[in-house]
This record gives sequence, structure tokens and C-alpha cells, in this order.
Amino acid sequence: MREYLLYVKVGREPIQAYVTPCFRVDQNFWQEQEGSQLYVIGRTPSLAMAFSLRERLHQYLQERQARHDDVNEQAVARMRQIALTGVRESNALYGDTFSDDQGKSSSEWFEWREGIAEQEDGSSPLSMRGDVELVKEVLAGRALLWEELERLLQTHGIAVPDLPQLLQRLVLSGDAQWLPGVRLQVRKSWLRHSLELGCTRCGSGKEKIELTTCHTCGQGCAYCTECLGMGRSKCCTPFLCVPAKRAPSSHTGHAGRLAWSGCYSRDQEVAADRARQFVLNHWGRNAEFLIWAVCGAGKTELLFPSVVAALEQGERVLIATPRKDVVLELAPRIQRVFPEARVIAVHGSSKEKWEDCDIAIATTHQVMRFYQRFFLVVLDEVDAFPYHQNPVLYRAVARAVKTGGRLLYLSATPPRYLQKRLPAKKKSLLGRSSYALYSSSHVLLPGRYHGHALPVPQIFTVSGLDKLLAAGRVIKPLHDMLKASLDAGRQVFVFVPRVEEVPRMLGYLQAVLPEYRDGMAGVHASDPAREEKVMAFRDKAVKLMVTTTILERGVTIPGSDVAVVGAQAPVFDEASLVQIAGRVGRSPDDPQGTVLFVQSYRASAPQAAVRQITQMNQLAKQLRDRRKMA
Amino acid sequence: MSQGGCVRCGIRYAAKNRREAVVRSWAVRLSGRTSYAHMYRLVERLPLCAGCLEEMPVIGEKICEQCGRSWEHQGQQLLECGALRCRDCRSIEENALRGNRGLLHYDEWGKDLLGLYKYRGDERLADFFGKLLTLAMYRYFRSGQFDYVVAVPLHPKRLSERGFNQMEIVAERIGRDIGVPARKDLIRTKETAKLSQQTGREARILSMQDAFAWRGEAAKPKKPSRILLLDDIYTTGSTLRACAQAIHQVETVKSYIWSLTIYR
Repeated sequence: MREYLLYVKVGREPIQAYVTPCFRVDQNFWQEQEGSQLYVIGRTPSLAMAFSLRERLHQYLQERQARHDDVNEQAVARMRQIALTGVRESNALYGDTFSDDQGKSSSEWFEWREGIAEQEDGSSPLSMRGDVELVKEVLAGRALLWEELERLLQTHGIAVPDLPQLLQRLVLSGDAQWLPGVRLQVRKSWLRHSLELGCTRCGSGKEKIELTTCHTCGQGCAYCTECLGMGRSKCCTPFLCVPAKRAPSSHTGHAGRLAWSGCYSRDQEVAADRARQFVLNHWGRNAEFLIWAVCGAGKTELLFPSVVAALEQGERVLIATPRKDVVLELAPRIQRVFPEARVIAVHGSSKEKWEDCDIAIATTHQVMRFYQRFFLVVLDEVDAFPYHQNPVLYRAVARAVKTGGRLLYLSATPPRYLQKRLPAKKKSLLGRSSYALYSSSHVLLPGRYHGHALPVPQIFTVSGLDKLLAAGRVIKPLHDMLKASLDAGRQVFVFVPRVEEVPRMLGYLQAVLPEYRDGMAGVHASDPAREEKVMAFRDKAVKLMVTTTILERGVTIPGSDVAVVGAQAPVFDEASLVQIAGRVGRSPDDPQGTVLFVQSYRASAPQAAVRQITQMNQLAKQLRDRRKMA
Repeated sequence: MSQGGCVRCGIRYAAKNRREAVVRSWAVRLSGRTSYAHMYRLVERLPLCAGCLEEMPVIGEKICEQCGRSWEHQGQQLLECGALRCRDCRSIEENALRGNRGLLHYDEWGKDLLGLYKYRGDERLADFFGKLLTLAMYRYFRSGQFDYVVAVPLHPKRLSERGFNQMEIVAERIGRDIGVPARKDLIRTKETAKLSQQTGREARILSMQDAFAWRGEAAKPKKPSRILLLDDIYTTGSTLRACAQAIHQVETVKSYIWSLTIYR
């Protein structure tokens, strides 16, 4: 069992507390710096506990420093007392929380002993076998749990017999940082004290953390259920963050060569250039930038100049997107455009996950494994699933950005808090507010690249919608629209709110439109034949597709129409509906189409979606008119 | 349980009427040894939605009296011979383990769930597996039939890697449910490779020999006790037989040992 020692260093610099898995390394390190004296406070197998105590000591030391008191033996005794109190408080609070749902209690959840362990008394020689530089190079720019770190070194064929010692050395020299996988803190308030828990890796709060008795550290522990799929992040698992210090040395400078023959529309060109200026930092000290471009504005192409700008400076670029399919589709496309850059696709089952690169295309979850590695991080579809209403995930993603780097958000429907933070709303004289087309922190692209307006959805309220569907009765607006589209040889998406409704809706449509029953299919996320069905839809073998929100983004089918049945359901929020409406009229040959929202009662989201789409159309029109005048 | 909703597909079970019907039909089919009402309660509290509950691959009535394997997986001719034991069990000589019972077939339905629990470490599933095993216990045995339950132990090294013993947590829950203590009398003395990395039945049986021992400090039982061993899956049965053997060695009089597994 690994133990972590907490000690206080008293020297010339500000007095600080440190946590170490091997005290000998620290002793050696500080010996080289004269005048440093180390006071051992105690040790515990729980890393989270050690860090929580360190916080407390820092608080105490700050208070002392404010009073200009020296740290003497008496102060050290006081600090030992503080640590002991901390352990006792955590014990009590942990016991309260844990026994609520487990039905048992104990008073000793955390182990705490004072003094140094016997084997570290200094008699045995300190061994530091292993290549520090090599380890540093492999780990640079990563944030990994202990197990992942061991596996990574193993796959690189690096044998490090004394890994903890080596890593502690890196930590002391400021090249790395240890943190507990799940952090623990006693939050005090006048009403009641509580135990604060949080996952260091994914940033989830207490509601995602489960308490458990752990056999790895042999005491009270907690793990994060949110990022469980990537390995257990626990109180006793070290989470090691190593920032990438310099740009990749093997870089030749050619990686930024762009082999792209397409061309921009006027608006695209302006937007792309603004993003590039942001990357080049001609716009002041902003670290975040939002490209807000409507569906079908050609967002991916907008990135190219920014990526070139970053690559030319010899920096690495990360493009993060929520879905694996998008990663797989995007990686070859980017590689074609940047033939001389090393492009890797990083997702759960990817083989090149750990390789070095110029451009990485990653799923959001994999981004959590990077630490200050990329100069430019692009977050595609910020409003989509894993980020959706989950601001903590942004923080985990923002960790991948180097200090002084740039974070670029890309979205057709930015979430409210980004809308508030980045674009400044402009108020006209009449008091009506509308979005500014650009500012130092955003650019808005309200029109599609082919210059046609976005199709505006029609809303129909049909009371008793579910009953009508269950009874197999014809719903006139829906029936007319579907029939008209199918008769015209167009393809139709029919969105339903829940998985269970896919077969029901399919059965209903097959009953009311019998002449098209062979060309209908239904698909949902866990459908085993999902890919084949979507493929058949793309190949026009399937004319009508009943689907849940899984097809709301990323799928482009020319000449298609959309119907949303049950648009009042909470899964269809404003962003989702705007995305769905954005499926229609994307190709320049066929820029028009029908979008129908059928709701069973008046809900706000469909209305808000229509409002947003009309607003965008208005802005696009203004932009066109202004250009004509000029 | 903090999750709420079906553990398998994640949806919150909205269709209450349908689920009710499924629960009833299971309760009728499984209430052999215990009352319908009791079985109903056991099935009802499983955190599964109607669809997943309906598809639950429960082993049928016709089973091998030794290992609890279903005859349906064996081919018809065995059934016609009127044999009570399956082919694998006929070759087993006298053993400390009286027999085994499993609740579910090990197929796609539950493979991922067990993987999620055991290897990914989603301990919230302990609740689900505990409920499943309690149900299995009442299906095959009576509550007063055992003095205590024992989970198959993990090797200390594996335990420290994994951070928890998946069956120990479940055993505690069952113990609480059926009102007998869960004890940790066994230790694993031999580190064996993962089941999937071993080849063949013989190798497995050989590797399991003397893999378990009575925990030194645990008090040896004075009178013969009736023990229910718990494991997640019975494949060749060598694990459970080795456990039974280890218990048998310290008991003077022949003890009464059965085993119960989630999957068979």
C-alpha cells in the first residue's frame, strides 16, 4: 500500500506544505537548496486526504504569515494538531454520508499516522532508476491516472523501476503536478459541515461521486461515476498532469501547408479571417473566441486559416468533437487538406491515441487526458451531448490548452451562457436587441454559404396528438406534408422524442401512407443496424426515416424535408430544434425545403427556435443589403 | 440507489402497466419454493424496465441437479435418457460441494452488465446483483437452510488492483436481505490467470487446486455449518469446488455446502 507523507518546508521562499509518496526524494531535493528545513506532519494512504490537509495547513500558514510570525516547533505542533482535527472531521462526515445508504458505521474511515515510515528512515540508499528525460517527453502534455500512466510507459517500452520517485522529482522541479483523482474537502458553514467531493479529471461534483470502502488504499474512498468508462478516478489514485513545455522539436514548419482548392463566400472569408486574427492575437488578450455560424454555413472550412496560423508558429492543434463518427469522418478530411501535418484520430478504440502529432482530432472524453498540450483547441458543436448543460466539462477541456493558448468554440446554436459571455448584444435605438455580427471575442455568420435563407419551420399545435397517433387517425398537416414531399421524390426525416416511439411512429406512418410503406425505416442510438440504415438513407434506398435526436446533427442529405412529431417534448430544446431545422436545404442545388414542428400543446422551445432562425435570416439579409449598398 | 431507471438500458421505466404485467408473469413462474407474493416483491424491486425485465434470460425448470445448468443448452437426447446430471457433472467424483444453482444464462443480456461491474468498477451495480441473487436464493432454497453466506475471495493482489471484491459487496447485501451473516472465512492463496486467458477445462481445474485456504484468524466452526457460497459465474465449477474443499478441510464433520451464482 502506497502512503503519502505530508510535510512542511521552512526556508527562504514562502513556507509551504508538500505531499510526497517518497520522502527521501524530497529530502535530497531540498538538501541541495540550503536553508530549507523540513517538518514531517504525518502520513496517510489516501491521497485525497493528504491534499485536503495540505489545504488546511496552507490556510494556517497564510494566517501566520500575515501576522509575521516565525514558524517554530510550537507552530509545527499546532499544524500536527490541525491535521489531526482535519482527519477526525473527515472521518465523522464521511461516516455520516456513507452509512446513510450502507447501514453500517465506523469511526475510523481514514488512516493517519504521525512520523516517517520505517523504511524511509534514510538508511537505505535512494534509488532513482529510469530515464527522467524520456519519461518527461512521453508524458508531456498529458493528464493521466496512475494506471493509464503505467500503461502508456509500457506501450512505449520504457521500463521505470522507481516510477514514484522519478515522478516526485519532476513534481518538485515544477515539471509536473500530482492531484488526487477525486478530491475531498471539509466545507464548513454555520448550519452544518459537509464533505465536498469532486472529480479532478472530469470536474463532476458530489452527485456523481460514489463513496466506497476501497481495498487499494484500505480505507474510506470515493470514485467518480461520470468518467468511469475511462478508468476509475478515485481518492487514492494519483492524477498526474504534465504540461508540454515547448513546441514539438521535430517540427519542420511545412506542416502548415494548406492543400485546399475550395473557395469562400464573402462572409465566410471575413469570418475565417477574424478567427485567424484571434489566433494570431491581433485582438487583444482574449483567450476564447466563438464562431457562431448557422447550420450549413461551412464551419469546418472556416477553421483552416486559424489552423494554418497555429501550425506556422510550430504549435499543436486539437479539434474536439462530441462524437466518434465525426472524428472518423473528419480525420481523413483534415489530413487531405494538410498533407504535411501529422494528423491523428483520438477516440476510445483508436490505436494512435498516444502518438505525437501536429493536429489531433479527438472525442471530448479523450480531451480530458491532455494537459496544456495544444496552442489552439477547437471545440466543435459545443452545445452537443457531453457538454450539454455541463459547464464543468468545459473546464476539463480547457485544461488541454497551453498557457497563453487559444480556445475556439464552434457552434450553430451556442448555449446560453456562451451567448452571454462572448458576443455582445447590441441595442438599437428602438430598444430591440439583436446580436452583433462580430466583436473581439466572436464572429457571427448568419447566412449559409450558398447565400439562400434558412427554411423557417411551421408550427402546428394538434391537441390530443398522442391519442390520434395511437388510434391511427390521420393528422392532416403532417400527412399532407409527408405526402407532398414523398410524391415530389424527396426524402424525409421524422423526429420523435423517445426510443420507444420509433417503432410506434413507424407503424403509424406505414398505416396512413401505405403506398410508401417499403421505403420507411426507423433508427435509434442502440440499434444494431444503425449504420446500415443510415447508409441506406443516404443511398436513397430508404425514403422516410423515423429517428430520435441521434440524427439531429452531422447528417447531410440533399433534397430532404423534416417533420418533428411531439416537438413539445423536453428533449427537443431550442438548440436541438434549430439543428434539426438545419438539416434542410443544405445543398446549393436545392436550398429550399419544408420543416414542420407538430406539438401537442404550445411549448416555448419550438417558438424560440423559429425566432432564432428568423433572426438569423434577418441578419443575413441586412448583411447582403449592406454589401450591395457598398 | 442513486441512478434511478433501468440499469441495463438507462431509461426511466415510464410504462408502469406493462412492467406490472411482466413482473407478475415472472412471479408466477419463479414462485416454486416461496409464495407468489414474496416472489412478486423480489422481482418488482429489480431495477429493470419492462423490456429488459421481459428479456431476462432466466434458466428454466429443467436443470442438471448438480451444477444447475439448463437442459435446453444440452441437446435433447440427454433428456430422453432420463439423466439427472449433465455430461460434465457425471465425471465429477464425490465433492464437498453439494451442488450449484445459477439464475441466468450467461449471454449478451448480462455480459456487459457484469463487465461494467467487475472490470469497470461501477459499484452501484452491486445493488442490482444483490437483488438478483436474493431472488435466486429464494427460488432454489429456503431462508433457514443456511447458517451463513461466503463470497469467493479475490487474491490480495487482484483485490488491490481492482479496489473491491465484487462478490463480497453482493454477499453483504444478500446476508442482510435473508437475515444471515456474510462471512469472509476464505482467502485466495494462489494467483490464477483470468478465466478467459486460460485454455481448456483441465488447465482450469488444475490451476484451481489448493487455490483457497481457511483464513487463519477466523474461528473454526465447532459444529458442522450450512454454508452458501456465492460467485458471479459458474463455468467449470472448479473455483467453487476448490472453495468448498477448503472449507471441508477444516471442518470435522461433513459440512453442508451449496453454491449460488448469478450466471450459469
